[in-house]
Amino acid sequence: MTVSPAAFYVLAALVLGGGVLVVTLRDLTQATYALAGTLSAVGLLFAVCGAELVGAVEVVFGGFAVSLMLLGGLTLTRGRGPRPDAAPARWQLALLVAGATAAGLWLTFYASRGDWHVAAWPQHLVDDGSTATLGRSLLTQAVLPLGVAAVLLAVAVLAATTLGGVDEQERELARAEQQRQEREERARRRREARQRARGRAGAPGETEEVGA
Amino acid sequence: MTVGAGHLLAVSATLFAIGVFGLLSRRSLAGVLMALVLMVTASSIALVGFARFGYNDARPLSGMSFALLVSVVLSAEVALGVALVLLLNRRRGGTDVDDLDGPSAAAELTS
Repeated sequence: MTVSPAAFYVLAALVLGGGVLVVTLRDLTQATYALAGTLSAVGLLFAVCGAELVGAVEVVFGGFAVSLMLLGGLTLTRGRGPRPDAAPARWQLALLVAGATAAGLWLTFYASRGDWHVAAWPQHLVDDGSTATLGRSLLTQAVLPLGVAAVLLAVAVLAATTLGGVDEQERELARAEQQRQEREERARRRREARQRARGRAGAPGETEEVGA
Repeated sequence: MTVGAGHLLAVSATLFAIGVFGLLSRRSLAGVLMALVLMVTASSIALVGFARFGYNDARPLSGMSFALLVSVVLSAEVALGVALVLLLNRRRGGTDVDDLDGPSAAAELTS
């Protein structure tokens, strides 16, 4: 089975165009949507290349889970973003380093192309898809890395919960801030009450003038 | 024209370079995290490319297995990254990476 060139080029253009949008859009929420589209296009690219399971995982993990986590983070930090404009010097430096990285990688791949082990896609994978073979490979040859990845994911979730949670010191600070605001509110009310009382004391004269 | 491993590697290298650009040009920590996601995804594309066009009977699809594990690690990285963004935002009132240089910022985050 060969990879369809039309599908490959369309998806590759979507992946690279989406990637450019992710790093250039000023609005980070829009950039997150672009990231979701990019990772979903990568998943489709994997599926077109015969890696259906990896493609599905990429769409679910990358397209949905990662983007949702980032959107949640952005929503909780809304209104406290960084200064919007990056200095032009920084953009030029970033462009220079990115260009050098691309050139280095392209040259490395081009120079090493003779050393690649190239083989035809076997007929049983064309007929049945790669999911069963990949599953067998995961549960026989890669079972230890799979277990380590599962533990890593659990530890990361626990660490994220611990880091994202509010600790006792921050709770005390928040309580102190709330008490300060309540004291200020009480003082403001007392001031207003005194002003009203003074206004009432001067009011009879004003009433007579109004009556006259 | 047939698509080969070189095509996938070209996409991978270009996406990685785009990620490097985002990593260096973004000011927000969330933007930096997105650029990192692009770079890790670029490595997955290379792994799938080698697995697809360099099939090996002795270790079938090991590149794809590795790409799956990379996706898991990526999710863990983003979960931790978002937690750090929230922590930074709460303690320093912003997520600008320019304000993070120096030992005081690190001490503030780890205290």
